[in-house]
Amino acid sequence: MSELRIMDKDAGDLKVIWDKDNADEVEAARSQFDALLKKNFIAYTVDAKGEKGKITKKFDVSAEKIILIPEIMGG
Amino acid sequence: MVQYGSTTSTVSSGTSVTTWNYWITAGTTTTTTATSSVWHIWTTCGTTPILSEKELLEAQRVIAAQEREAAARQEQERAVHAEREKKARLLLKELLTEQQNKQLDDNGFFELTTVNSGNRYRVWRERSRNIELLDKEGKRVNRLCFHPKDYVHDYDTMAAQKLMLEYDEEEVKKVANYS
Repeated sequence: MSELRIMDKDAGDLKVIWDKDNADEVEAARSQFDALLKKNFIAYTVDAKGEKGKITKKFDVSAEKIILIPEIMGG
Repeated sequence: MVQYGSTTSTVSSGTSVTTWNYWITAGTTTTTTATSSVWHIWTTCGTTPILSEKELLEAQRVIAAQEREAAARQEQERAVHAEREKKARLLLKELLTEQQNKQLDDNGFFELTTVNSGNRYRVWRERSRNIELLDKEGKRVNRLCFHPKDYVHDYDTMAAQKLMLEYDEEEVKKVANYS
């Protein structure tokens, strides 16, 4: 199982889980991913330990975990 | 110049009250008189209760109900905040090492060293101006400020900052303010 973790200012952190062999779950996760990137969210893939991170612009169905953070600004 | 004028009237209860019920425009002969409603019950303070016992009980009931509603709302908000904090802390916990988690619990910050540049940062639990670039002795060289535009929980902010510092430090240099 893989998961999207979404930092949401209203609902708090959201989790979307998918099984790469389940087309419906994959499509739901991909759709969520694409919608948030359009809102300028930044996506990082990390392994199950939260390491080996990298930025991704494309939904990776085989990723273990994708973390979506809102757009960043200087303070 | 406009002033209030006053007069003495008798209202339905038979109580004599003084009311300000007409305007005087100084310097002219024009006077406008209007009919006023007066709260005559307030003029009998000391002899007749302001509210009847029934009215008083009703007012107390309404106030108590409003206080209960406010308390329930506050409790609900506290529960929502606690749930958000729990989820944000869980995500951050998953991204930090055991040592970093202990550092955060004990001191309110965690430190990281980036793989690419070898820079050492200290990330405090705050939304902004919470990151320090450290030298080899652990002394602060600079303070950095960057964070998500959205007001996410502090732990989410720290998670986002950790990911960017470790995996996109060049972007941090572009977007962050240094002081």
